[in-house]
Amino acid sequence: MFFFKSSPYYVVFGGAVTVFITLGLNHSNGLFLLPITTELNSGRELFSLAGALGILFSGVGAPFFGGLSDKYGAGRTIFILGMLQILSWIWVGNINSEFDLFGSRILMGIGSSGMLGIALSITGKSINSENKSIFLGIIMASGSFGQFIMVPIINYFINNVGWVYSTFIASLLVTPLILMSFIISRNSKNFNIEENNQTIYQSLHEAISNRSYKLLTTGFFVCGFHVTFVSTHLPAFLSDNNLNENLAGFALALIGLFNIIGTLSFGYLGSKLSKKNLLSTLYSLRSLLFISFIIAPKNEFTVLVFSAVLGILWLSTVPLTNGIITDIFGHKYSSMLFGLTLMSHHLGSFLGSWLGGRMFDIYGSYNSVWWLCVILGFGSALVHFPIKSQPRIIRLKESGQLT
Amino acid sequence: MNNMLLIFCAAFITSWVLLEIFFKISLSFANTGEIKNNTTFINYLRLTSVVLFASTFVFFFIEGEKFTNFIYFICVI
Repeated sequence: MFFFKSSPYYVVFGGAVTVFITLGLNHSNGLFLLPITTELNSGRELFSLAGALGILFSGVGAPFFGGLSDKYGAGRTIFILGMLQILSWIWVGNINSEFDLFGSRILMGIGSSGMLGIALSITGKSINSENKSIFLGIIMASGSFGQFIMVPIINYFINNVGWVYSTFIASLLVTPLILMSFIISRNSKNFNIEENNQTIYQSLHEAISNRSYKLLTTGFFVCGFHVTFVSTHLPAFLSDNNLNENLAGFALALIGLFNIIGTLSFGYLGSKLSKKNLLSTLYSLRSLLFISFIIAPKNEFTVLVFSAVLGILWLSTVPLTNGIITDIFGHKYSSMLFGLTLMSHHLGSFLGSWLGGRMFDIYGSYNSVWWLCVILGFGSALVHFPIKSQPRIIRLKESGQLT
Repeated sequence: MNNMLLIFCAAFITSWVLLEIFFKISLSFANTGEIKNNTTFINYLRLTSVVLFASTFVFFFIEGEKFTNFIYFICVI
């Protein structure tokens, strides 16, 4: 039967659904802040700290689960991570103490760690086409779409059946990941076979001593900083400027909407142009956008245009960064190597969230952090220029290690 | 609210124009000569954006109870 015929497009479908669910539900976490802090009778700082620790563990787990996926298969790893996510949501529904709060958020962080990298890498491995970059853009866009769809759905459930039952519904919403793990297992084939007899440790050692990889990882830190600072502190910033109370909702919706369009556009451009030049352009544009936003008068129109343009540049970095890693090192250990780069992104996210609040407490405004975003953006653009995305085989031939 | 929706539409159109300018300038450096493919892609992108914009517009237009009923209706299906 046609339906059961093995096809790499099922892998793209499985990867897209995996990222849709994982990123969508991760983005819904903030909705549980008020009910959980009320239940535990604790401050918001505790919930924020637990969330930040979850992000850190998600970053730390990314290279580990990426390596597991490279060695034992993406389907098996997604199955394990899916089960961890289901358990973590059930745990959230049974929170009685601070220990439960921290434990469940850390488990959720581990459960979602590396999912994005695994989905992108398995798509890159399975699709044997020069338009691979577009498919990576589709995977990323599905994650953005998940954030766009899941938040109002979880919000609806919290308002209608209460936060405890909503966590159980969230755990049910994770279950399609188990089915996706089987679909991916059955259909994934490595069409991009390359001469690579390296062990996982040799690959890791090569990456760590590769200048371009180090520059790429450093640059990706800035992406995490920008994205988390804006998504965490923009609503408060708008409120400080006495703008319409509905504006934050409109702004975040426009970021999400244009994020989908942006990842697709940059995915397409990545298949036509140099990925590192595109990344340099993207970070420079972000800095120019931040400067315009600092200088411009703050009203509804400027805020919404800022949000929409930032949405275009939001997570468009991901398919390009993943593409450069596979260009340099091939597909064999791409999940693990992208996971390591993602760790730097998550460290940036942690600092973006924390430093935003800290600087506000010290200076009484977000101006210093906006300027820091500008400097970091231009710095990241400069860092991407010297990257050489020369494939491993050519590097070995040039150094005389391969004839 | 109506004023906000108008500003929302204006911001969407402004940003879309900026994206299209950037997209066309970037592709002029590509030297691939695949003008037909590029046009097809940008048409799909326009279609996707319009669908997403319309759904977001509806989201804000039918607020509150109407929206939750809409979600409930989807869940029942």
